[in-house]
Amino acid sequence: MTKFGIEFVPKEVYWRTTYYAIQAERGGFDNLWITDHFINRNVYVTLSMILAHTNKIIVGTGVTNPYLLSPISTAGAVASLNEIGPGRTICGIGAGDLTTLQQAGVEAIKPLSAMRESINIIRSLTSGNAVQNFEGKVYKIQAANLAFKVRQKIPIYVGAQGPKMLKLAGEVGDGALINASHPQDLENAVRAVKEGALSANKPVDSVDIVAYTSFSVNKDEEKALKAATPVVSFIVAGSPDGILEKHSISLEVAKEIRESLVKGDFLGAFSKVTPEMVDSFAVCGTPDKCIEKVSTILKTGVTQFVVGSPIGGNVRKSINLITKSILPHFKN
Amino acid sequence: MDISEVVQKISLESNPGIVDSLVDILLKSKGANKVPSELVRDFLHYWRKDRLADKDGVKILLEAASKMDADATSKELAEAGFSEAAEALTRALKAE
Repeated sequence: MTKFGIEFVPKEVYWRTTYYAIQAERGGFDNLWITDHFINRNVYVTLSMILAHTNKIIVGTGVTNPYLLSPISTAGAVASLNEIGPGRTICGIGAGDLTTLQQAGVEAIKPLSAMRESINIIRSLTSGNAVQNFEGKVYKIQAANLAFKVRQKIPIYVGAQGPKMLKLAGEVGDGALINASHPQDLENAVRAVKEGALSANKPVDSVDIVAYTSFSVNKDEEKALKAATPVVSFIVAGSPDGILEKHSISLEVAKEIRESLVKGDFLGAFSKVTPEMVDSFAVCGTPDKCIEKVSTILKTGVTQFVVGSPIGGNVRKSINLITKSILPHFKN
Repeated sequence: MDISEVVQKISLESNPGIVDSLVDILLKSKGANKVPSELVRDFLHYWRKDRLADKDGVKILLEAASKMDADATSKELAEAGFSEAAEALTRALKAE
Protein backbone atom coordinates (compact mmCIF):
# COMPACT_ATOMS: atom_id res chain seq x y z
CA MET A 1 0.00 0.00 0.00
CA THR A 2 1.18 3.52 -0.74
CA LYS A 3 2.60 5.30 2.26
CA PHE A 4 1.87 8.91 3.08
CA GLY A 5 4.41 11.25 4.59
CA ILE A 6 4.41 14.84 5.73
CA GLU A 7 7.22 17.37 5.75
CA PHE A 8 7.77 20.16 8.24
CA VAL A 9 10.22 23.04 8.05
CA PRO A 10 11.37 23.65 11.65
CA LYS A 11 11.10 27.41 11.41
CA GLU A 12 9.04 27.65 14.59
CA VAL A 13 9.71 26.67 18.20
CA TYR A 14 10.14 22.94 18.70
CA TRP A 15 6.84 22.41 20.49
CA ARG A 16 4.77 23.71 17.58
CA THR A 17 6.43 21.29 15.16
CA THR A 18 6.02 18.54 17.76
CA TYR A 19 2.31 19.39 18.08
CA TYR A 20 1.88 18.98 14.31
CA ALA A 21 3.87 15.72 14.37
CA ILE A 22 1.56 14.21 17.00
CA GLN A 23 -1.42 15.38 14.95
CA ALA A 24 0.02 13.84 11.78
CA GLU A 25 0.69 10.51 13.49
CA ARG A 26 -2.81 10.39 14.95
CA GLY A 27 -4.26 11.26 11.54
CA GLY A 28 -2.64 8.27 9.85
CA PHE A 29 0.55 9.55 8.27
CA ASP A 30 3.22 6.84 8.00
CA ASN A 31 6.30 9.03 7.63
CA LEU A 32 7.46 12.44 8.75
CA TRP A 33 10.34 14.42 7.28
CA ILE A 34 12.10 17.43 8.77
CA THR A 35 14.09 19.73 6.52
CA ASP A 36 17.70 20.54 7.36
CA HIS A 37 18.77 24.13 6.85
CA PHE A 38 21.05 26.11 9.13
CA ILE A 39 18.68 29.09 9.31
CA ASN A 40 16.02 26.97 11.02
CA ARG A 41 15.91 24.94 14.22
CA ASN A 42 18.30 22.02 14.14
CA VAL A 43 16.92 18.95 12.42
CA TYR A 44 18.26 16.43 14.97
CA VAL A 45 16.98 18.37 17.99
CA THR A 46 13.58 18.66 16.31
CA LEU A 47 13.50 14.96 15.42
CA SER A 48 14.53 14.01 18.97
CA MET A 49 11.55 15.83 20.41
CA ILE A 50 9.21 14.33 17.82
CA LEU A 51 10.43 10.80 18.45
CA ALA A 52 10.04 11.31 22.19
CA HIS A 53 6.42 12.42 21.76
CA THR A 54 5.23 9.90 19.15
CA ASN A 55 4.86 6.13 19.05
CA LYS A 56 4.90 4.77 15.54
CA ILE A 57 5.49 7.37 12.85
CA ILE A 58 8.76 6.88 10.96
CA VAL A 59 10.86 10.02 10.89
CA GLY A 60 13.75 11.21 8.80
CA THR A 61 15.96 14.06 7.79
CA GLY A 62 14.48 15.50 4.67
CA VAL A 63 17.25 16.04 3.69
CA THR A 64 20.63 16.56 5.26
CA ASN A 65 23.71 16.95 3.04
CA PRO A 66 27.23 15.53 3.04
CA TYR A 67 29.02 18.89 3.03
CA LEU A 68 27.82 20.85 6.07
CA LEU A 69 28.10 17.88 8.39
CA SER A 70 30.63 15.10 8.01
CA PRO A 71 29.01 11.74 7.20
CA ILE A 72 30.68 10.40 10.34
CA SER A 73 28.74 12.91 12.44
CA THR A 74 25.57 12.23 10.47
CA ALA A 75 25.95 8.51 11.21
CA GLY A 76 26.28 9.25 14.93
CA ALA A 77 23.28 11.59 14.86
CA VAL A 78 20.89 9.17 13.12
CA ALA A 79 22.13 6.27 15.26
CA SER A 80 21.38 8.34 18.38
CA LEU A 81 17.91 9.16 17.05
CA ASN A 82 17.32 5.45 16.56
CA GLU A 83 17.82 4.95 20.31
CA ILE A 84 14.99 7.40 21.02
CA GLY A 85 12.65 5.75 18.52
CA PRO A 86 13.99 2.27 17.77
CA GLY A 87 13.41 1.32 14.15
CA ARG A 88 11.73 4.64 13.36
CA THR A 89 14.64 6.60 11.92
CA ILE A 90 15.57 7.21 8.29
CA CYS A 91 18.60 9.11 7.08
CA GLY A 92 17.54 11.29 4.16
CA ILE A 93 20.52 12.84 2.43
CA GLY A 94 20.96 14.90 -0.72
CA ALA A 95 23.75 16.81 -2.39
CA GLY A 96 22.48 20.08 -0.98
CA ASP A 97 21.18 23.30 -2.35
CA LEU A 98 23.93 25.29 -4.09
CA THR A 99 22.75 28.66 -2.77
CA THR A 100 22.72 27.37 0.78
CA LEU A 101 26.19 25.87 0.46
CA GLN A 102 27.53 29.09 -1.05
CA GLN A 103 26.06 31.08 1.82
CA ALA A 104 27.91 28.80 4.22
CA GLY A 105 31.12 29.14 2.22
CA VAL A 106 31.19 25.45 1.43
CA GLU A 107 32.07 24.13 -2.01
CA ALA A 108 29.94 21.28 -3.34
CA ILE A 109 32.81 19.11 -4.57
CA LYS A 110 31.94 16.17 -6.84
CA PRO A 111 28.32 15.77 -5.70
CA LEU A 112 27.83 12.26 -7.11
CA SER A 113 31.01 10.98 -5.47
CA ALA A 114 30.27 12.82 -2.24
CA MET A 115 26.86 11.19 -2.09
CA ARG A 116 28.06 7.69 -2.96
CA GLU A 117 30.90 7.88 -0.45
CA SER A 118 28.89 9.44 2.35
CA ILE A 119 26.17 6.82 1.96
CA ASN A 120 28.84 4.08 2.20
CA ILE A 121 30.29 5.68 5.32
CA ILE A 122 26.94 6.21 7.04
CA ARG A 123 25.75 2.72 6.15
CA SER A 124 28.96 1.09 7.39
CA LEU A 125 29.01 2.97 10.68
CA THR A 126 25.31 2.47 11.43
CA SER A 127 25.68 -1.23 10.60
CA GLY A 128 28.33 -1.62 13.28
CA ASN A 129 31.31 -1.64 10.94
CA ALA A 130 34.35 0.56 11.34
CA VAL A 131 35.50 2.71 8.43
CA GLN A 132 39.25 2.34 8.05
CA ASN A 133 41.76 3.64 5.53
CA PHE A 134 38.94 5.03 3.41
CA GLU A 135 40.40 6.79 0.38
CA GLY A 136 37.53 8.30 -1.57
CA LYS A 137 37.45 11.09 -4.12
CA VAL A 138 35.91 13.41 -1.55
CA TYR A 139 36.40 11.80 1.87
CA LYS A 140 39.54 10.36 3.39
CA ILE A 141 38.97 8.62 6.69
CA GLN A 142 41.71 6.94 8.68
CA ALA A 143 39.64 5.18 11.32
CA ALA A 144 36.11 5.81 12.50
CA ASN A 145 33.49 3.78 14.29
CA LEU A 146 30.52 4.22 16.62
CA ALA A 147 31.19 3.11 20.19
CA PHE A 148 27.61 1.92 20.64
CA LYS A 149 25.51 -0.70 18.94
CA VAL A 150 22.81 0.31 16.48
CA ARG A 151 20.11 -2.27 17.00
CA GLN A 152 17.97 -1.61 13.93
CA LYS A 153 18.87 -0.97 10.32
CA ILE A 154 18.73 2.73 9.47
CA PRO A 155 17.50 3.09 5.88
CA ILE A 156 19.21 5.72 3.75
CA TYR A 157 17.06 7.71 1.33
CA VAL A 158 18.69 9.77 -1.40
CA GLY A 159 17.36 13.20 -2.31
CA ALA A 160 17.67 13.46 -6.08
CA GLN A 161 16.55 15.56 -9.04
CA GLY A 162 18.94 15.11 -11.96
CA PRO A 163 19.07 11.84 -13.92
CA LYS A 164 22.48 10.76 -12.60
CA MET A 165 21.56 11.34 -8.98
CA LEU A 166 18.21 9.60 -9.49
CA LYS A 167 20.02 6.54 -10.85
CA LEU A 168 22.42 6.64 -7.92
CA ALA A 169 19.42 6.76 -5.59
CA GLY A 170 18.08 3.59 -7.17
CA GLU A 171 21.48 1.96 -7.09
CA VAL A 172 22.58 2.65 -3.52
CA GLY A 173 19.54 4.05 -1.69
CA ASP A 174 16.86 2.31 0.32
CA GLY A 175 14.66 5.10 -0.95
CA ALA A 176 14.66 8.03 -3.35
CA LEU A 177 13.26 11.41 -2.35
CA ILE A 178 12.14 13.18 -5.51
CA ASN A 179 11.42 16.88 -5.17
CA ALA A 180 8.66 17.19 -7.75
CA SER A 181 4.92 17.64 -7.89
CA HIS A 182 4.11 17.16 -11.56
CA PRO A 183 3.20 13.67 -12.77
CA GLN A 184 5.37 13.95 -15.90
CA ASP A 185 8.46 14.93 -13.87
CA LEU A 186 7.80 12.10 -11.45
CA GLU A 187 7.26 9.55 -14.20
CA ASN A 188 10.68 10.35 -15.66
CA ALA A 189 12.28 10.29 -12.22
CA VAL A 190 10.73 6.94 -11.28
CA ARG A 191 12.09 5.47 -14.51
CA ALA A 192 15.60 6.68 -13.69
CA VAL A 193 15.45 5.34 -10.12
CA LYS A 194 14.32 1.94 -11.38
CA GLU A 195 17.14 1.90 -13.94
CA GLY A 196 19.58 2.53 -11.10
CA ALA A 197 18.13 -0.29 -9.03
CA LEU A 198 18.29 -2.71 -11.94
CA SER A 199 21.90 -1.74 -12.67
CA ALA A 200 22.75 -2.85 -9.13
CA ASN A 201 20.76 -6.07 -9.52
CA LYS A 202 18.28 -4.92 -6.91
CA PRO A 203 14.55 -5.62 -7.20
CA VAL A 204 12.96 -2.32 -8.27
CA ASP A 205 10.37 -2.63 -5.53
CA SER A 206 13.14 -2.70 -2.90
CA VAL A 207 13.49 1.07 -3.31
CA ASP A 208 10.86 3.31 -1.69
CA ILE A 209 10.26 5.95 -4.36
CA VAL A 210 8.97 9.11 -2.73
CA ALA A 211 7.15 11.99 -4.38
CA TYR A 212 8.21 14.88 -2.16
CA THR A 213 5.65 17.45 -3.22
CA SER A 214 4.84 21.02 -2.42
CA PHE A 215 1.28 20.79 -1.18
CA SER A 216 -1.47 23.24 -0.29
CA VAL A 217 -5.04 22.33 0.54
CA ASN A 218 -8.04 24.39 1.53
CA LYS A 219 -11.80 24.04 1.06
CA ASP A 220 -11.51 27.42 -0.67
CA GLU A 221 -9.38 27.03 -3.80
CA GLU A 222 -8.25 30.67 -3.76
CA LYS A 223 -6.91 30.30 -0.22
CA ALA A 224 -5.02 27.15 -1.19
CA LEU A 225 -3.50 29.03 -4.12
CA LYS A 226 -2.56 31.97 -1.92
CA ALA A 227 -0.72 29.69 0.52
CA ALA A 228 1.13 27.88 -2.29
CA THR A 229 2.23 31.01 -4.14
CA PRO A 230 5.28 31.99 -2.01
CA VAL A 231 6.68 28.45 -2.09
CA VAL A 232 6.14 28.19 -5.85
CA SER A 233 7.85 31.53 -6.43
CA PHE A 234 10.99 30.19 -4.77
CA ILE A 235 10.79 26.94 -6.75
CA VAL A 236 10.46 28.85 -10.05
CA ALA A 237 13.32 31.17 -9.09
CA GLY A 238 15.57 28.20 -8.26
CA SER A 239 14.70 25.99 -11.24
CA PRO A 240 17.11 25.53 -14.14
CA ASP A 241 15.99 26.88 -17.53
CA GLY A 242 15.48 23.36 -18.88
CA ILE A 243 12.92 22.55 -16.21
CA LEU A 244 11.10 25.86 -16.76
CA GLU A 245 10.99 25.35 -20.53
CA LYS A 246 9.65 21.85 -20.05
CA HIS A 247 6.72 23.36 -18.17
CA SER A 248 6.28 26.17 -20.75
CA ILE A 249 7.18 28.80 -18.15
CA SER A 250 8.56 32.04 -19.55
CA LEU A 251 12.25 32.36 -18.73
CA GLU A 252 11.79 36.13 -18.70
CA VAL A 253 9.06 35.98 -16.05
CA ALA A 254 11.10 33.48 -14.03
CA LYS A 255 14.02 35.91 -14.16
CA GLU A 256 11.77 38.72 -12.94
CA ILE A 257 10.59 36.57 -10.04
CA ARG A 258 14.20 35.72 -9.17
CA GLU A 259 15.23 39.37 -9.26
CA SER A 260 12.28 40.45 -7.12
CA LEU A 261 13.12 37.80 -4.50
CA VAL A 262 16.78 38.84 -4.43
CA LYS A 263 15.74 42.46 -3.89
CA GLY A 264 13.42 41.39 -1.09
CA ASP A 265 10.36 42.46 -3.08
CA PHE A 266 8.37 39.40 -2.10
CA LEU A 267 4.95 40.76 -3.02
CA GLY A 268 6.32 41.67 -6.44
CA ALA A 269 7.63 38.14 -6.89
CA PHE A 270 4.42 36.50 -5.68
CA SER A 271 2.30 38.65 -8.00
CA LYS A 272 4.08 37.15 -11.03
CA VAL A 273 3.29 33.55 -10.05
CA THR A 274 0.64 32.14 -12.37
CA PRO A 275 -1.81 29.26 -11.76
CA GLU A 276 0.13 27.32 -14.44
CA MET A 277 3.32 27.65 -12.38
CA VAL A 278 1.47 26.40 -9.31
CA ASP A 279 0.13 23.45 -11.29
CA SER A 280 3.65 22.59 -12.45
CA PHE A 281 5.31 22.76 -9.05
CA ALA A 282 2.65 22.04 -6.44
CA VAL A 283 -0.33 19.91 -5.56
CA CYS A 284 -2.82 22.62 -4.71
CA GLY A 285 -6.54 23.13 -4.34
CA THR A 286 -9.64 21.78 -2.67
CA PRO A 287 -9.53 18.26 -1.18
CA ASP A 288 -11.25 16.84 -4.27
CA LYS A 289 -8.79 18.52 -6.60
CA CYS A 290 -5.86 17.27 -4.49
CA ILE A 291 -7.26 13.72 -4.50
CA GLU A 292 -7.38 13.88 -8.30
CA LYS A 293 -3.77 15.03 -8.57
CA VAL A 294 -2.48 12.61 -5.93
CA SER A 295 -4.21 9.76 -7.81
CA THR A 296 -2.42 10.77 -11.02
CA ILE A 297 0.91 10.98 -9.22
CA LEU A 298 0.47 7.54 -7.64
CA LYS A 299 0.05 6.05 -11.12
CA THR A 300 3.65 7.07 -11.91
CA GLY A 301 4.93 4.29 -9.67
CA VAL A 302 5.86 6.26 -6.55
CA THR A 303 5.47 4.29 -3.35
CA GLN A 304 5.27 7.17 -0.90
CA PHE A 305 3.52 10.52 -1.29
CA VAL A 306 4.82 13.37 0.86
CA VAL A 307 2.69 16.37 1.72
CA GLY A 308 5.33 19.09 1.77
CA SER A 309 5.48 22.74 2.62
CA PRO A 310 3.34 24.87 2.82
CA ILE A 311 0.62 22.19 3.54
CA GLY A 312 -1.88 25.07 3.85
CA GLY A 313 -2.46 28.52 5.28
CA ASN A 314 -3.35 27.14 8.72
CA VAL A 315 -1.21 24.02 9.18
CA ARG A 316 -3.38 22.50 11.95
CA LYS A 317 -6.59 22.88 9.93
CA SER A 318 -4.89 21.66 6.76
CA ILE A 319 -3.60 18.50 8.46
CA ASN A 320 -7.14 17.84 9.72
CA LEU A 321 -8.50 18.34 6.21
CA ILE A 322 -5.92 15.96 4.74
CA THR A 323 -6.40 13.24 7.35
CA LYS A 324 -10.19 13.42 7.22
CA SER A 325 -10.85 14.10 3.54
CA ILE A 326 -7.84 12.92 1.53
CA LEU A 327 -5.97 10.05 3.26
CA PRO A 328 -9.10 7.90 3.75
CA HIS A 329 -9.63 8.01 -0.01
CA PHE A 330 -6.35 6.16 -0.50
CA LYS A 331 -6.00 4.17 2.71
CA ASN A 332 -9.43 2.54 2.93
CA MET B 1 -2.56 33.46 38.36
CA ASP B 2 -5.35 31.13 39.46
CA ILE B 3 -7.14 30.23 36.32
CA SER B 4 -9.36 27.54 37.87
CA GLU B 5 -12.19 30.04 38.27
CA VAL B 6 -12.05 30.77 34.54
CA VAL B 7 -12.14 27.08 33.64
CA GLN B 8 -15.22 26.55 35.82
CA LYS B 9 -17.08 29.06 33.66
CA ILE B 10 -16.40 27.21 30.41
CA SER B 11 -18.88 24.55 29.38
CA LEU B 12 -17.33 22.62 26.53
CA GLU B 13 -20.67 20.98 25.76
CA SER B 14 -22.03 24.36 24.65
CA ASN B 15 -19.06 25.19 22.43
CA PRO B 16 -16.30 22.57 22.05
CA GLY B 17 -14.71 24.71 19.33
CA ILE B 18 -13.08 26.85 22.00
CA VAL B 19 -10.38 24.18 22.41
CA ASP B 20 -9.24 24.56 18.78
CA SER B 21 -9.44 28.35 19.08
CA LEU B 22 -7.11 28.31 22.08
CA VAL B 23 -4.77 25.86 20.33
CA ASP B 24 -4.64 28.22 17.34
CA ILE B 25 -3.56 31.05 19.62
CA LEU B 26 -0.70 28.84 20.79
CA LEU B 27 0.25 27.79 17.27
CA LYS B 28 -0.15 31.11 15.49
CA SER B 29 0.48 33.98 17.92
CA LYS B 30 3.78 35.70 18.39
CA GLY B 31 5.53 35.31 21.73
CA ALA B 32 5.97 31.54 21.83
CA ASN B 33 8.92 32.09 24.18
CA LYS B 34 6.60 33.62 26.80
CA VAL B 35 5.23 30.18 27.63
CA PRO B 36 7.24 28.56 30.45
CA SER B 37 8.88 25.27 29.50
CA GLU B 38 6.97 23.31 32.18
CA LEU B 39 3.70 24.53 30.68
CA VAL B 40 4.91 23.56 27.21
CA ARG B 41 5.69 20.07 28.47
CA ASP B 42 2.20 19.78 30.02
CA PHE B 43 0.65 21.05 26.77
CA LEU B 44 2.44 18.41 24.69
CA HIS B 45 1.72 15.69 27.27
CA TYR B 46 -2.01 16.41 27.25
CA TRP B 47 -2.08 16.68 23.45
CA ARG B 48 -0.26 13.38 23.12
CA LYS B 49 -2.86 11.75 25.40
CA ASP B 50 -5.61 13.56 23.42
CA ARG B 51 -6.79 15.19 26.65
CA LEU B 52 -6.68 18.89 25.77
CA ALA B 53 -10.49 18.97 25.94
CA ASP B 54 -10.46 17.73 29.57
CA LYS B 55 -10.87 20.32 32.33
CA ASP B 56 -7.14 20.06 33.11
CA GLY B 57 -6.32 20.32 29.42
CA VAL B 58 -8.40 23.46 29.02
CA LYS B 59 -6.69 24.92 32.08
CA ILE B 60 -3.29 24.34 30.48
CA LEU B 61 -4.49 25.86 27.21
CA LEU B 62 -5.87 28.92 28.96
CA GLU B 63 -2.71 29.44 30.99
CA ALA B 64 -0.45 29.10 27.97
CA ALA B 65 -2.64 31.10 25.58
CA SER B 66 -3.10 33.97 28.03
CA LYS B 67 0.66 34.15 28.57
CA MET B 68 1.17 34.46 24.83
CA ASP B 69 -1.70 36.80 24.03
CA ALA B 70 -4.07 37.69 26.87
CA ASP B 71 -6.26 39.99 24.77
CA ALA B 72 -6.74 37.41 22.02
CA THR B 73 -7.55 34.76 24.63
CA SER B 74 -10.22 36.93 26.29
CA LYS B 75 -11.64 37.82 22.88
CA GLU B 76 -11.88 34.16 21.83
CA LEU B 77 -13.64 33.28 25.08
CA ALA B 78 -16.15 36.11 24.62
CA GLU B 79 -16.77 35.24 20.96
CA ALA B 80 -17.32 31.60 21.88
CA GLY B 81 -20.10 32.71 24.23
CA PHE B 82 -18.11 32.51 27.46
CA SER B 83 -18.33 36.17 28.46
CA GLU B 84 -18.14 35.40 32.18
CA ALA B 85 -14.99 33.38 31.62
CA ALA B 86 -13.51 36.23 29.58
CA GLU B 87 -14.23 38.68 32.38
CA ALA B 88 -12.83 36.27 35.00
CA LEU B 89 -9.67 35.88 32.92
CA THR B 90 -9.24 39.65 32.68
CA ARG B 91 -9.70 39.93 36.47
CA ALA B 92 -7.23 37.12 37.09
CA LEU B 93 -4.63 38.72 34.84
CA LYS B 94 -5.07 42.14 36.48
CA ALA B 95 -4.65 40.56 39.93
CA GLU B 96 -1.23 39.18 38.96
